Amino acid sequence: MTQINIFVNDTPMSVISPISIAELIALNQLDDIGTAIAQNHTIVSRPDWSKTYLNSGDKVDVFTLVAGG
Amino acid sequence: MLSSSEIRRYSRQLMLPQIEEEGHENIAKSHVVIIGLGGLGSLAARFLVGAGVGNVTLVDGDIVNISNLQRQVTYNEMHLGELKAKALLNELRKVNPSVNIKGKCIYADRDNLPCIIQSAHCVLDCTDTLAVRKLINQACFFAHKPLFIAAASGCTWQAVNLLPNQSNAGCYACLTNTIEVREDCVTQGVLGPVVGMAACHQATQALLFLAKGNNADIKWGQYIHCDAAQSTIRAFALTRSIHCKVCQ
Ligand SMILES: [Zn+2]
Repeated sequence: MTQINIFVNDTPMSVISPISIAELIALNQLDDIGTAIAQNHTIVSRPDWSKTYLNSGDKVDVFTLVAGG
Repeated sequence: MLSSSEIRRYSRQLMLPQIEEEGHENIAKSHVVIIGLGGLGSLAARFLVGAGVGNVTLVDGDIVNISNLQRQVTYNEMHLGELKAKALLNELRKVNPSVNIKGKCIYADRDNLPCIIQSAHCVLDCTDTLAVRKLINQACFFAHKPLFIAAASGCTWQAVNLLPNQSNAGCYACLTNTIEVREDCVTQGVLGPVVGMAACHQATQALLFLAKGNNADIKWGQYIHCDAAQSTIRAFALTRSIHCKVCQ
């Protein structure tokens, strides 16, 4: 287990590696309904969150999908 | 060859390297289908008709309601209670009588979508529910139609341009099949200009595509997220998901 530094919505954050996107969501107590995640500017589909691990320096973007028009 | 009146009418866009005379002639030969005539569709349609898109089909079964006037800038109090497709068609004919505009006063669904988009060069998804958006994505994917999607809620707007079978780019279902979207204009509200920004983006992308076709520098599969309150815009690659039931 090592500590790594990542950026979540441009805010630096220290987390214990290994950590998956699903674990990051749980750690931050984020509402996962309607949430989309990008790792280094590429969207990660939700079924892959639990098997996608974060690396030191990764940029994670968390945003809520909208559908209104 | 453009006539002198066409050159006068379209002079501002003819000057652009992204359009020029050849691009404008392509625009004038095009057919765009706009599905949903609320804050997105009514404004995007105004720009496309103004720009001289040859054929525009307007699709919506809804009527103009007083709560629409805060953001749906093409309607006014005279249109209250009128079918949006009919009201918009009448207004847009005053803007540019040379455009062949058709109004379909129906809601898009699984059964009618293949027919609605059949002859389109591109489709604009301007609807407001995830369920219909998924149907439009699916219909456009199987009919190989370029699809320009935009959405807005609160002070956020989002958009993505999709071209079926474009290398590694995903589709709307890649993103939404496993995600439940809670927000929409009804539950969250939306600021008028924010949905307008989304519509302007959508119309811009469609015009650039119609002018130069496959030679246009369109960012296919790039998902745009704009927070208008924070003045931030982020762009993400929407890649093909192996779990997608539409494009896999
Ligand atoms: Zn897909």
